[in-house]
Amino acid sequence: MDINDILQIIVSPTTAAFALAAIGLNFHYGLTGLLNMGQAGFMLIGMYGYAITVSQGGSMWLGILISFVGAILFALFLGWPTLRLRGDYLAIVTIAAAEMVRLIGRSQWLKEWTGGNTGLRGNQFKGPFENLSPFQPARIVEIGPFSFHTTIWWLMLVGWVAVAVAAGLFWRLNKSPWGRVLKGVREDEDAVRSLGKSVYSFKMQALIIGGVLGAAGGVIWAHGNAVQPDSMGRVTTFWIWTMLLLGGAATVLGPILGSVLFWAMFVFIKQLAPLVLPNLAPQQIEPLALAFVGIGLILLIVFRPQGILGDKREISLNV
Amino acid sequence: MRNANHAGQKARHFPLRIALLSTLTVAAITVISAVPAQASQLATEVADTSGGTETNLLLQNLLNGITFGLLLALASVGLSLIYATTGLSNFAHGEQVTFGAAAAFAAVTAGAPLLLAAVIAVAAGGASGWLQDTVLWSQLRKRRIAPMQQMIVSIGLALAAVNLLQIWMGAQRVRLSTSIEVRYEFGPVSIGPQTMISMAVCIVALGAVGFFLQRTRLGRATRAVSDNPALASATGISVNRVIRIVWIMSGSLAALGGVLLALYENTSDFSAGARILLLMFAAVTLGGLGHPFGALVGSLVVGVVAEVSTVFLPTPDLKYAIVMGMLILTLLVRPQGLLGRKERVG
Amino acid sequence: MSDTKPNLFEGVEATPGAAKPDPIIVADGITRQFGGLTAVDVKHFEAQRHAITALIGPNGAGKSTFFNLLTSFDTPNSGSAQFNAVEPGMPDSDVRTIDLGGMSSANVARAGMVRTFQLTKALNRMSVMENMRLGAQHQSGENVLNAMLAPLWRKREQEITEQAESLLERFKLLDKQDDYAGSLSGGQRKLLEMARALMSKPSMIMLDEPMAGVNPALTESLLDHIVGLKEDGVTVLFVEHDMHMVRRISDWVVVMAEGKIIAEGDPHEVMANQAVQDAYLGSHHDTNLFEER
Ligand SMILES: Nc1ncnc2c1ncn2[C@@H]1O[C@H](COP(=O)(O)OP(=O)(O)OP(=O)(O)O)[C@@H](O)[C@H]1O
Ligand SMILES: [Mg+2]
Repeated sequence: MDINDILQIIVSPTTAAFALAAIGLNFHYGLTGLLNMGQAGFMLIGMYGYAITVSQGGSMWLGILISFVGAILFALFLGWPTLRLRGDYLAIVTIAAAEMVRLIGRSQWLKEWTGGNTGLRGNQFKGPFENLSPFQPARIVEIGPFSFHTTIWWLMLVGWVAVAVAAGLFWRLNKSPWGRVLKGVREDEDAVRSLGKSVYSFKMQALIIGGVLGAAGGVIWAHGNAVQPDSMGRVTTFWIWTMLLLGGAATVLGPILGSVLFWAMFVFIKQLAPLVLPNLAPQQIEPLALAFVGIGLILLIVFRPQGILGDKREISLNV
Repeated sequence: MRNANHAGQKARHFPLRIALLSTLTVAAITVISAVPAQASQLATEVADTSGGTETNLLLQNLLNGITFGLLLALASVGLSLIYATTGLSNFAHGEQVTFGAAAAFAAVTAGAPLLLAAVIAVAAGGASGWLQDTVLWSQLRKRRIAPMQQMIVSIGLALAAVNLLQIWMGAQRVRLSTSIEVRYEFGPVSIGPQTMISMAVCIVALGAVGFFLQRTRLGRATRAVSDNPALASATGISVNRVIRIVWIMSGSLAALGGVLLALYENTSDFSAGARILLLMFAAVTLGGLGHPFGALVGSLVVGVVAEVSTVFLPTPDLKYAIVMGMLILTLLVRPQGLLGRKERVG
Repeated sequence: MSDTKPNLFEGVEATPGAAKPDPIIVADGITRQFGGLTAVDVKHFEAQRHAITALIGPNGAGKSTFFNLLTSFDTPNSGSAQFNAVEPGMPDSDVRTIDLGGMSSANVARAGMVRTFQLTKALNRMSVMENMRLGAQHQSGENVLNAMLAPLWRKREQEITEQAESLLERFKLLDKQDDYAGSLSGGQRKLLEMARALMSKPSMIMLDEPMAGVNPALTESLLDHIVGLKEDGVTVLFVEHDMHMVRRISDWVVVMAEGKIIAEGDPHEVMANQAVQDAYLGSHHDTNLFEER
C-alpha cells in the first residue's frame, strides 16, 4: 500500500485534464441538461488539433487556437441536427460522432497526420510547451511527498490554473442571467421558448463552451501522456460522467472533486485488490478496478443521485 | 372482477408463450443444423464446376452486409424492445451480446457440442435478463428513477460487466468452433455453410419475434405498453410483467446474436458486444427509436452500408465511421427514423 | 366589464369568423392535420384588441392545437396569421403588422404575444423568483459575454427583481419567492406561470385553461387578475371549460368544435345557440348545458 501513489495521482495532469473535461460536461448536463455522451470526442478533437498543428510545424498558440476551433466546429456539427430534437437524440449523435472521430483518427487513411492507431508520440508535439517552462534547469524536483520532473511540475501548474479558471467561469456564468436561461432550458425548454428566448442558440452556446473545455482537457491530457485515439473511446466519456455525478452535477466544485476522487479510488482499488484477493492475476487487477467504477456509478445513481456536493432537495423535485 | 380474471388468464399464458417461443427458436436451430450435410454435398458440386470464377466484389459485399445486418438485427431487437417499453437506452446491451458468446464458450470448453452450447447461452441470456430486471430495473422503476438516470445506471452496468467479462474470459480471443470455414461459390458470390445457417437462424428468430409481436396476445400487450404504458395498465395489462418478459426476450435474443456473431467472425472476446453497441444504437435509431420493426430495417441498412462502403472507401477501416456519419445525417433529415412516427409536441 | 363591451364590439356580427374593428390577431385558412385527423380547420379568425376573448369547445375541439399554431409551437399545414403589435406606450394607431408564419415561438413571444400551457410548465428546480426573472425581456446579461461581467447587468437585474416582487405580491406568491417552483401546489404553479408570462410586459396573453385545477377561492382572484390585465391594456385570449367563468369575464366568446369555429358572439347569446349546444352534447338532448344560474 503506497499512499504516495494516491497523492501523486490526485495532483497529476491527468486528474486536472479530466477535471476540465468534467467542468465542460457540467456546462452541458449540469447547467443545460444536454446529454453529451461524446465528451471524450471533444478531448480527442482538442488533442488532435493541437498535436497535429505542432507536429506539422505550427506554433503552440496556433495549436491551441486550432484545437478550440476544432471543438467549436464539432459542437456546431453535433448540435445542428440534434439540438432541436428530444434529448436522447443528442446522446446517440454525440456518442456516434465521438466514435467517428476516434475511428477516423485511428484509421490508416490519414496516418500521415494522425499517426493511425498508434497516435502521435509526445516528442512530436510537446516541445514548444516544455520550452516555455520557467522551471530551469530541467531536473527532478521534490516538494513534500511529490517528486516530479520539472516539465511535469510545469504541466501541473498550467493544468490546475486552467481548472481554476474554468471553475471560476462556471461559477460566474451559473449565477448570471445567461445561466438562468440554461437552467430554464434544463427544466422545460418549451416554457423558456414561450418566454421569448431562442432555446436553440442557448443550447448551442452551452455545447460549445463545454466542448472547448473538453478540448482544453484533451490538450493537457496529451501533454501528460500522448495522443492515443483508443484511450479516448466512449468508456472515457463514461468516466467523465461518473466524475461529474460523483462530485455533484450543477455544482462549481463537483467536477473537480469528482475527478480527484475517481482517480484516487482507482489507484486505491488497484493497490488494495492484490492484498484482498491474492489469487488475482496481475492483468486482472485493472479490469477489477474498472468494474468497481461501474458498480460505484450504479450505487451512486441509486443512493445518492445528487453526488457529494449536490443539493438533495433539487433531486427530490425531479418530477 | 373482469380485470382479475383477465390477469389470471394472462398469468397462465405467460409461461406458455415463453415455452413456445423458446421451443420455436430451439427447433429452428435444430432443423437448420441438419442442413450442412446436404449443403456441403451440394456445394462441393458447385465448387467443382465453378472453381476459379472471380467473385464480384460489390455483390459479395452486399451479401456480407445483409448477413451482418441480420446478425445485428437479432442482437439489437432487444435493445429496441426495451427502449419501446421502458424508455431506457440500455448501454449494457453490448455486454448482453458478449455474455451470450462467453456462456457458449464456457459450455464448449466444458465439452458441450456447439448446438447445446448455443441453447445454454440463450437460456443463460434470458436468465440474465430476468435477473437484471428483478434485482435492478424493476426496483428503479418502482423508485420512479427517470429513464435518463436509468441510462446512466446502464452505463455503470456496462462498465462493470465488460470488465467482469474480461476477468472471466481473459483478454485473448476465443473461438467457439475450430472447424475450418469452407466457402462455396454461387455465381458471383461465395458463402460458407456456417454463415448460411446463421442467416437462417436469424431469419427464423426474427420471424418468431415478429409473430410474437403481431399475433400473440402477449405480443400485442407488449406493443400496447410501448404505445402508452398508462393506458395499457388501465386496460388491465400488467405492465411490469410485460417488461419482465421483454427483458428475458432481450437477453436471450442478444445471447443468440452473440453466439452467431462469434461464429460469423470466427472469433470472440470480452469486447465483442461493446464493439457493435454503437452499430446497434445506430440501427435502432435509424429504423425509428422504439419501433418494433425499426431494428430490423435499420440493421440491414447499417450492415449493407458498412460492408458495401469498403468498396469505395480510401481505407476499409473507415466503414464504421461511415455508419456513424450516416446516422447523424439521417437524424438531420428524418429525426424519427425510417419507420418512426413524429411525436406529439407539448 | 359590461360597460366596455358595447364600444369594443359594437356592430360586430355574431357569426363565425366575424371581422373586428381593431383586431390584434388575424388568422386565415389555418389547418392542421394529424394523420387522417383534421385537428384545426379555421377559415377566418380575429381577436379584438384590449378585449377578453374566450375560446371554448368540447374536449379535442382543437383549441390547444390552435394556440400552438398561433404561437409557432406547431406549424399549420396551410394558412397564415398576422399579429398587429403596438409597442407599449404607443398609440393604438401605431400598429406594426407581423406575419406569424415561419416565425419561431421565441420571436412570437418577443413580439409581445406570450402564452401559458394547459399542462403547467413551472421550472421545478428553480426558485419562484428565478422563474419570474426568466420571464423578463431585454436582459443584456443573457448574452454570454456580458454575463461574465456582472456590472453590465446588475442594474437590470435589480429592476426585474422589483417588477417580479410586485407581480408576486399581486399573485399572493411573494412569501414563496425563495422556494423551488416544484414545491408549489398545482394552483400556485398556474399562478406562477401566468405571473411569469406577465414579466415580459406582453401586449397579448394567451392562457390555456388558466383555471383548471385551481380551487374556487383562488379562481376568484385569478378572474380578478385577468380582468385587471385588461384594464392595464393587455389583450387576453383564453381557453376555459367552466362556462360560468367564461360568462363572468369575457367580452366575446369563440366556439370551436371538431377543429372549426362554429359560433362567435356575446357570451350570453352564444351559449343559447343551438349549434353550440349540439356540439357539446350531440344533437339529441334536452338539457340546457349553459343555463344561467
Ligand atoms: N401531436 C398530435 N398528434 C396527434 N394528434 C394530435 C396531436 N395534437 C393534437 N392532436 C389531436 O388533435 C385534436 C385536438 O386536440 P387539442 O389538444 O387541440 O384539443 P383541445 O380542444 O385543446 O381539447 P381539451 O379541451 O381537452 O384540452 C385531438 O383529437 C387530439 O387528439
Ligand atoms: Mg387543450
